[in-house]
Amino acid sequence: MKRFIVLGVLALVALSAYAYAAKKPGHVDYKEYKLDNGLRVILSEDRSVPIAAVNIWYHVGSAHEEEGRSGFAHLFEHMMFEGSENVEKREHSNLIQRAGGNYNGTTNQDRTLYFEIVPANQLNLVLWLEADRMRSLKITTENFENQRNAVKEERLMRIDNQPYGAAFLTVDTLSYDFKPYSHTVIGKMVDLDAAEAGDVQRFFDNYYSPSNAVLVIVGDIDMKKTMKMVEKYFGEIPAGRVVPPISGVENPHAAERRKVIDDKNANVPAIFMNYMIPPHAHEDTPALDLLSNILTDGESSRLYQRLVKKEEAAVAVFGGTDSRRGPSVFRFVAASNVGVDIGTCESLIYEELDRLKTEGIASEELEKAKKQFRTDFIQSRETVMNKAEALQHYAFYHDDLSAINKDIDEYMAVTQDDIIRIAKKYFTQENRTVVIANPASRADS
Amino acid sequence: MRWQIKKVFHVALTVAVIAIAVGAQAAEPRPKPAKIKKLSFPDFKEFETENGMEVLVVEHHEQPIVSIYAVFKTGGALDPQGKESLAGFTIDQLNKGTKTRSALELAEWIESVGGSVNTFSERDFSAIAVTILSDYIGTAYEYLQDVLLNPAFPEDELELLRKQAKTGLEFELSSPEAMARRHLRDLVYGDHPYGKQPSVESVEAITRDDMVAFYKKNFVPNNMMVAVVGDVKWKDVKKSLKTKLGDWQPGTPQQVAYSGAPDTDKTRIYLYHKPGAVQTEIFIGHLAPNAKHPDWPAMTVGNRILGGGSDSRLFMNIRETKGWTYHVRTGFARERDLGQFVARTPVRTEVTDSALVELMTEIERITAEPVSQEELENAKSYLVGNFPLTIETPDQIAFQVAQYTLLGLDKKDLEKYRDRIDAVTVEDIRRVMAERVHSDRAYIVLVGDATAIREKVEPVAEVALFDIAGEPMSLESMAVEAVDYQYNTALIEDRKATYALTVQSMAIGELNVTVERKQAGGENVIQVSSNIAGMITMDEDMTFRAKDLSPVSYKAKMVVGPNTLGAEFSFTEARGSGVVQSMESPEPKEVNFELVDGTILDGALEYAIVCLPLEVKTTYRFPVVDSQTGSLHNVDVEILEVVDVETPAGKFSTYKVKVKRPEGDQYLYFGKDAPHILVKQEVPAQAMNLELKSIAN
Repeated sequence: MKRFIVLGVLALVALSAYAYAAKKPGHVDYKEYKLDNGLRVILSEDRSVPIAAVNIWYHVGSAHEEEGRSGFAHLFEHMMFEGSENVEKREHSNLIQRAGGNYNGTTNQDRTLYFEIVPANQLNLVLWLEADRMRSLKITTENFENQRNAVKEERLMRIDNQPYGAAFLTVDTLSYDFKPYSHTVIGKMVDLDAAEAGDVQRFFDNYYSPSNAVLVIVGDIDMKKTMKMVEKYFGEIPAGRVVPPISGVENPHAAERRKVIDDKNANVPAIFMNYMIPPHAHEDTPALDLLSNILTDGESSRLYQRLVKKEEAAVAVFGGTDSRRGPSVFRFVAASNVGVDIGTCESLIYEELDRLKTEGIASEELEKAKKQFRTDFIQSRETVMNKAEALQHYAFYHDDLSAINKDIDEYMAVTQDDIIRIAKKYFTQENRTVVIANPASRADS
Repeated sequence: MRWQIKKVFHVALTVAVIAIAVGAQAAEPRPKPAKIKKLSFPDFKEFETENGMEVLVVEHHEQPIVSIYAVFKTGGALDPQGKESLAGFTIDQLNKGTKTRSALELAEWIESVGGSVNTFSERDFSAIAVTILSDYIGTAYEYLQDVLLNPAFPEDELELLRKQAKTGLEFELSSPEAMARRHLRDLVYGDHPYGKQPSVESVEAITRDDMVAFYKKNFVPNNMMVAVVGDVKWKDVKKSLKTKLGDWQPGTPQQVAYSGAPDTDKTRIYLYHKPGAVQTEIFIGHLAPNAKHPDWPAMTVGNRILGGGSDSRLFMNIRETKGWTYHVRTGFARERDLGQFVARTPVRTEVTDSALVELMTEIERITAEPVSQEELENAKSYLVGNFPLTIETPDQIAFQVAQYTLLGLDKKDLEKYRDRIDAVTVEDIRRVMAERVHSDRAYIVLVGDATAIREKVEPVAEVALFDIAGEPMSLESMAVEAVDYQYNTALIEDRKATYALTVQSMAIGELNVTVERKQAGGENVIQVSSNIAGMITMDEDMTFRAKDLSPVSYKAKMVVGPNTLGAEFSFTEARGSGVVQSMESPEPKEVNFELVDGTILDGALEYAIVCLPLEVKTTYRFPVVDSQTGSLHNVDVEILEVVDVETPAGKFSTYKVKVKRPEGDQYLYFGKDAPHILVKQEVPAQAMNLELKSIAN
């Protein structure tokens, strides 16, 4: 039995129309659809180069892992390249590469993403491949063992054999009481060892379904033809379970949390600091992001001037917010200059934060931060891949896709008073978690 | 001269149409690609200014952003000997102060309009780049005019950079990957200008005068390329460059003398010891031709098959089949002069030798056997198909063109890139890989725990051993960690003690121990004499310094049935030497071994432990002279708990201490009260016990 697909019979809902009038820099046009099985589809045309980016987010991350199975969402991401009903082990990546494309996947606390960028004429191959593994992942014990090993190697390479690997993980686990975020994405070795192939199937059934995914396609595409292809490949996949979003808050901390780590891989002391902040969608986020420009963006930023230039205490200092669905963090990281106590860097950061809270900020300095933010904002929407990421970001973290073209206004509306208020609200002693990585002295282990 | 190239690529792959009819079954058949679109290489303009700047303009008006790259065709290859990093320092300091503005004023100027600035330096070029909203491009030109023409090179900024560079070198030392890369470069390039790398000494030697001279000589308009990309009009660029940089006078930049790369006739392993590393960084490398070489297309395709992507032979073998690594990669570095072939992978320590063998086997195989037609087609289709992905943004387009300019390549080859890749045959790859890749003349750099991997990799090639910084190491000292403990040696009081010795609950005899402080060679020393008389006999006499327990002399002889065992050592500050006689070597054998800081005699361990703070759960590690083999090793000690012990001498509250030894753990029980006399010793593996019978001062 065959049937012809005509756009008119598709249950498409165009949720957003094109806004042609006076587009602002960084503006992204898009159309949004929803298939019957719940798959949300967002398309955006960019015909400057004959390439297309496909980006799928499954709304599952380490936050959804069961007790004793830390690292599983990321391990599962590896399994997505191990074959499905019509695709052999590794064939997914091989076919993409033979098409001249690039691909990868990444996992964080909240979501797992897969992307491909290909010459535009290969879009149908990518959609077919993504649909096949969404519908019918093939899970064998052998492939599972192999990927478990690859993930353990990844952990050794990124964490256990690297300077600051342990500190980097510890500052996050120590920061959170909120259960879903209180373990690491990469997971514990013991949990990775305990995972079983049966867990993979269960995870797939629970989370890898059209109703828990968003598909974004950006590039040199014809919207109608593309939707036809999407319907053809994804339309028949059963809807699957609707996964409720993670919920809960991080209760206010009663006191500062602190830990010192002897890092046998490090030669230079470093400090990792988290201040607890609300989820990304919160109204305080624009002011917090601008605070990161004010404090650490560029050579004229406050912490760079004070720690790196004036006092010559730090060799580098970074800061900024994490985008999370749930309670988030504002990070600071600094590394000492040769012969400088890391405690000096720490006190200088506090002095600068206090100065911000008591003296506030000049309007020129705020304007500078806004211009820096705006430049980065526009620059981060240059490629088809970046645009696809931005669309996914707003669909997921903001729950309001149209914010993609309005969000910048929120940033431009931040006032000098907002900056003081937000600094006072979040940069407090009890709200922070501090981890110091000291080069382990061999003598006093 | 003014000219323009319009490049048209017809990327003609297979042609197919989109099937619009679908079956009712759940799975769709695998689709064929749609008709490929023509791809025109984006327009760009090139021109030269009167003072010799080569200018490249890529207009792209989608977003109101523009980047300006000022690239000097001079880099680290020109660093004077002993002042490595001079080129990098000079480019970095351009925007750290001008005749009229401080570093902070310069930063405020560009950042207040949302702009950002980067400087970077490579072997053959140095660059400063500004990215800014196109509304403020005027600020960017003025900024560049000031930093390019009027740099002041303030002393205090140089001192700060020097400090940061030294911290950077400390960071590098802690990164196994960075150290492997550095050591390989040293080996492959030797005295060639590409072998120059910064050191603490070289960054300390650089002066302000060096930078000023380097700037004046090399940072001149006829030694640079300016690329302006994004939301600009090329005519405006031309005008602005003339106004802002038109008066800048050309000069005579230095030329690099490219020579001095070493020859090698043999594959060797250079093993850099990182104690306790859980992974080994494997880097294999050797010289390769320069970027202009006609073999580049075949090298590119051959490399893609060997280890260029995640469908390569090495990736499929070492990661996908074996699961030994997270990633493995090979590549040819394209340089103006000699390039470098590098194969690299980090693997877990236990599989280092196996992974190395697989790497060498795959490298050799691609030089010896023809690749399959399928491999060839797959590699080519990636390289050809991927090209449009590399020219998406104006910066990427500029990078492609600039690369050809800076490497001195013919830009017509950029136009013909796809055709040249497509023309590569199976035979080309066999010939070119055989000529350009050498498993028999390669440098193998391993950064990892030498104690765990040295013996296992020896069958692959001759091994030379170094510490992580690159200083040669001996086998003896390799494994042993030094310590720097402060001992409270007042606790070692003169005494005579007697212990009952039992083996498998059988009374074997008595051990008598005498501890005595003495003067010897003008130093305070402690002499410990022990003897056993009974079914076995033993005499042991050792002397160590009272201040730090370092060894002075050791002599022991033991008779067990028909066997005689013994050792006799004397010590200098850095070495021990003498003879040993053991079960393994019944004939007396001469030994000579290096010491590390904090080395003590095996027999001094029980005195060393009590001179350190005794807190439950504390662990200590000691470098110890093994009296049976005449070599050094680490012994780990842990204070377990406080327990009550009864011996023939009475009841004692004691610290139970575990001593980890290869032949089995030992447990020592020290009196809880100072001076913490040893009251009992157990060796469960040998069912041996010592118990205190009596003690006298």
